[in-house]
Amino acid sequence: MSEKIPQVVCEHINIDDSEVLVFSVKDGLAKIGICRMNSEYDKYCLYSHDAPVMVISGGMDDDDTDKVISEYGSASGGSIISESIDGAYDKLAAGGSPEYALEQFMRLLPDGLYAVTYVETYPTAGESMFFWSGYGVSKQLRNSSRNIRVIGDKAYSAPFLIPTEKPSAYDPSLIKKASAEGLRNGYLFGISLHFSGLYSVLLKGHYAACAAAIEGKPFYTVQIQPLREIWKITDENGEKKSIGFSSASFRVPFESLTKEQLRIGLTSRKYVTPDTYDAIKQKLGVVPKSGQKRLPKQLDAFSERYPDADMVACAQGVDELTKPMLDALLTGQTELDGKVIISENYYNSVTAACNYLRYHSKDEFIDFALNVMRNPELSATYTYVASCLAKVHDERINQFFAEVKNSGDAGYSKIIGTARSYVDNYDKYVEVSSEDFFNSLPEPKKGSERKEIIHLTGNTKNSDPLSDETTKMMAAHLASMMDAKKE
Amino acid sequence: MAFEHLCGQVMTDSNGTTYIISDTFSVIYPGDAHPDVYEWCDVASVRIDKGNIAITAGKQTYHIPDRAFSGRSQFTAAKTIILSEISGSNTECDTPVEIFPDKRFFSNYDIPDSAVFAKGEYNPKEIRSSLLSLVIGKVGKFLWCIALATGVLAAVLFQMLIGFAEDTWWYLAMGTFFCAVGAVVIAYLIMVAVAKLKYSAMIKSCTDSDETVTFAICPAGISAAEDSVYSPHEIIRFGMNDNYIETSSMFIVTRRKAPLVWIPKALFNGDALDKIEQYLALGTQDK
Repeated sequence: MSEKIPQVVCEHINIDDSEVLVFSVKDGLAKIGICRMNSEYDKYCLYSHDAPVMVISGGMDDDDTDKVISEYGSASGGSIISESIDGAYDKLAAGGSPEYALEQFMRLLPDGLYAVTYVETYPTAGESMFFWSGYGVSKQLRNSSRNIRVIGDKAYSAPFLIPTEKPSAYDPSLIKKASAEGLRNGYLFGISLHFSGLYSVLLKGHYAACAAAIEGKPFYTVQIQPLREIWKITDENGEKKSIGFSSASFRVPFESLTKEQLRIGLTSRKYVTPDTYDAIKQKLGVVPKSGQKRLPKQLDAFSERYPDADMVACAQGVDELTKPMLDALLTGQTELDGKVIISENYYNSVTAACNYLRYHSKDEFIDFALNVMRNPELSATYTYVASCLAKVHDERINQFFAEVKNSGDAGYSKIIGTARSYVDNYDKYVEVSSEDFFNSLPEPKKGSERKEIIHLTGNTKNSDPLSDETTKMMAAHLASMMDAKKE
Repeated sequence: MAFEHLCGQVMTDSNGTTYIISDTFSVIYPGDAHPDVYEWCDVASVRIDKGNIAITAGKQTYHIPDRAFSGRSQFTAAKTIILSEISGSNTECDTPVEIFPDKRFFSNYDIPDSAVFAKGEYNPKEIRSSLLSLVIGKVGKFLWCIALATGVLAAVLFQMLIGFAEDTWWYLAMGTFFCAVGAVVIAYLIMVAVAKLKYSAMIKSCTDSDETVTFAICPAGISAAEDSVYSPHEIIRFGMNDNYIETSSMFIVTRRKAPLVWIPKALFNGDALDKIEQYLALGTQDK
């Protein structure tokens, strides 16, 4: 039987006067992907060759449910995989277009269509915790469902990151190097693969993300989004009709695709069973050793400046929130001039408004939230609004919580704990100096030693013959390199 | 969901219309940039016969003729994807009776190394004889009732028409006995004819099929699938309504008293057969 050689074609597609870069992968090696581990328990795994990288233990079978994940291993275990990712990163850092830089890497993905975007991301786990230290234990990701209620049918960006390197691999001496070299168009950057909802897995650029968090610089990723969902609309007769492919950020109509792209998109399957499935399963059965190294706590402190998942969802889902709308909400209304402000549900409207304002303007948020808290008729929302206020360090909030603490008002009984804790910790808050922390980082090691070649089988002995699997991958890799040279 | 290892299947008919069976069902018409794409939950009904597939979705029924399939293995793969996709849904499904277990019963499960594996083809003769054993096993006990009832009826009739007397009782008793035997023979022949008629499609499918079948039996369940679609990660889990019957040539696993999986004994050695019996007893006990 002849081995199939992966075919990757990249095309620019015009959608509503904007250009989308779409890769179509045929006969892909499926060396990185998500496979189902156990349908009975809704358990899936993001794998890289034969190594589990991330375990998804809930929410995959339901488009409206947030996913539960835990980190497991590293994505760059296999030599060809890490070479492809590193190669793509280096080309992108050198200013190469994604079209040229990502081609080798795309061969490692399962068949399908992939849209590529260059987007600003936040190196956090969606809740002010640094992304690289946020997934040590099983964690439910806020707004990681395919359908995010606040956003509805709209396209949205997925700014939060999930690491594909274990925290034990953290080496502070690489941050300064990444800060100087991990730049594209002057911005620190990485490569990510969209996972679900507001989350993407960061394949490359962990240290650049560290540098961005420490220095307070924006962090961009070249984000690959599988176009796997069917875009449906309801026509004038009330019937649902499929009109294209969709991902988090893109809606691609069928008409804009070639017949071959259509065929690839419609033939591809959502989950794959890789030929290394047994090895992945076996490794999943072994409890991973938790590394002794922990990331510095300062990285979590630096992450507090980034918006959380609720803020991002509301910022993208709420079209507008004007002063009259906020005033109407403060009087207990959910409609203004016959138009629903955010939601017909008052509680949802207030929580969404808080998150929207927190994202856009700290001052407006504090004004609105304090007005809500001072209105006894809106007491149903006190707990949530107080929890939002407690996330912001501000003198006005401190004064308000001090009043709550001292007033003994029964209406504030549910938030007294939050108020006490805020007031007690207010003066203890010390802003960590980014500059000091960055300067304290060790300098990069000079003259790096030649890395020992790690075969995909995990065998490090060069004298041993290559396994079938490695040989196949090497053959596909060499063939693709030859193709590239010919072109 | 099972059979996720199968690739999406692309078929093109003589008019140039392309049908794609994958996570969705799609139809691409020649010269039309907009395909009809349906998620399986939107498919109303599926009819699969020997070589054709008809899918009703929206307001249309799409017929994928046998000529559109590149071969038997593509048809099997397409059929398998459809059945696994619609399993657990309310989609109406009409499939022919065949020797292979319905793919809708399969679920994700890693078959352990301790399972008993074999590859081979079904032998129609073995199927036929096992079917007969199955039918006799089911209805055989009623043959005694038929014999008894016919005997009593004959005796009553003889008494009424001729009357048992000293010189006639021997002939009438013999007559009664032969009436009972005759009735049993007739009932048996009818039973065999009905069974043959009922299962002829299954036996024919077995005769027509030239695909090798992979069998795997483990304590958790059982798998019997065409080689082209077999995966060691799919199995029919034993359930509350399962049982098994052993004939001279087959183990027949039944669900709600209907045959589910047929396991030819000829493909296994003595030790393996002992293990299979043990696993089947274990998997179907307390039912």
